[in-house]
Amino acid sequence: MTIPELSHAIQSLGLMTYIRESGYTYPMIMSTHLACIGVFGGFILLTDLRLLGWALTDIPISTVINGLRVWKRVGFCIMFTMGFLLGTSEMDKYYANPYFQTKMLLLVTVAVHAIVFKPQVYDHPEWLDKAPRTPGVAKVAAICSLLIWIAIPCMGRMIAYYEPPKAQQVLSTEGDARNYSVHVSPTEAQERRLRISSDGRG
Amino acid sequence: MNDWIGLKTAGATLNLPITSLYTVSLLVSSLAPLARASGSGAAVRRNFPAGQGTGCFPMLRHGVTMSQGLFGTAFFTLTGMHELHGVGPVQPAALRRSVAVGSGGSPWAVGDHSLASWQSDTILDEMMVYDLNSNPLNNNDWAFALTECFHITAFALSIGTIMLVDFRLLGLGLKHESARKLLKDTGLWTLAGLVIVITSGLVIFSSDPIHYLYNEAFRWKITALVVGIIYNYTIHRKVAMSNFSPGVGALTGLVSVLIWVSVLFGGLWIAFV
Repeated sequence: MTIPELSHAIQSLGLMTYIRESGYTYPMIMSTHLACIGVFGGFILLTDLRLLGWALTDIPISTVINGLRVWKRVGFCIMFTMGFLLGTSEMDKYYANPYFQTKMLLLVTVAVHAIVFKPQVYDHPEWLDKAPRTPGVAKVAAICSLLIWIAIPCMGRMIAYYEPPKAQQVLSTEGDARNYSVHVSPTEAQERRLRISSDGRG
Repeated sequence: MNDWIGLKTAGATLNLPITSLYTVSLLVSSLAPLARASGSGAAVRRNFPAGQGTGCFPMLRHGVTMSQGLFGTAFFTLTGMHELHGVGPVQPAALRRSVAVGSGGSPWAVGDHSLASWQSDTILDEMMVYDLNSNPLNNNDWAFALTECFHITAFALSIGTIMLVDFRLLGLGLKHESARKLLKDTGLWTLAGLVIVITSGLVIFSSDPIHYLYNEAFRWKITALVVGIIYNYTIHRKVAMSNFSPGVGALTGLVSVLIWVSVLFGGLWIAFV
């Protein structure tokens, strides 16, 4: 089974087909995915900023890490589930998308980041409190985490802008309308503007 | 806990039947445009300022002001906004009529806000001749996407820091620290995030203003955003800085979470309506 065939098989599953063809389910899942960035994504940034000593400096590192740990996990689970549904329901379009591939690779680096830094930094934050200055390893962990977690949503956003080579475009045109606002060619935009202004609807 | 919210004073001061009547008329006026009966809606809406007068003057006389108590802040902020909405220029309707004029239609064919159009005509005229091709966001492959990346990162920062306080108000997250401390610690980051998110948002808006103005999800988002910012710097802040009871804290936090989530939902739905 080749990758295109596998992708097609995945997106042809009942649930994935339903999501892809639904009117409101697809944007609802996407909205939840996005809302998680707002609700839980900030916790990741704040933990990193605390490790770097840029924010929440009068609160011990261990308090920040231990207090937010469970919520970051909850957020990750929701975000991952929603992202999984979104990704698999459009597999045909995504598997060859370089931004999608980069995003998946970045998710792997999240695991690598955890394997490398969890034992030293996140599992024993009390040790960081006792140190006279935040140890270098914690700062490296924070910078890596910041870079990875800022890159992930950016790559996610970029997925929508990738225009596949002509041969692939034929495969699926169905999702294009909904990606519309993301990238509007000027002429289209002007046409729409005229159309809206002529019927005067709000 | 005595009357720090100000509800008792308000309850004792307001003429509740009359206040209720005007509240109903306000709500009806808000729903009227949906039922395409905006003529009567406008009539009802014009009555609201009078109603508000009968409500707020006795309250002011009894010392319930904007800076006194949670109730006062909420009451005067929200009714004040409504008052502006009722008597002041109503921008979306003004824009709608101006667009009708711009495209050769009758200025009276749509909308009922006769007071409103003078102000926005000029802006609209400029928008009508604004060439979208000249905007870098429309003629550069990377500009739009890059701006959105800034937008996303900045809202993660601004909303995320607000969420840290909200979770504390709900008794979750960093529950061993005081909400006051968390608010003070994150205030600058929230503000920085908001500045970047609004700036990048305006840049995105410039890529096709008319399209966004007529997009229902965009309107929802902007309304929720304005409500969210006002809420954040009035009620939310006031509660977080006080010795709130668990119930008041939870309610304040929950409302905040809902407002900000609805901003995010509105933002995403722009592409789907």
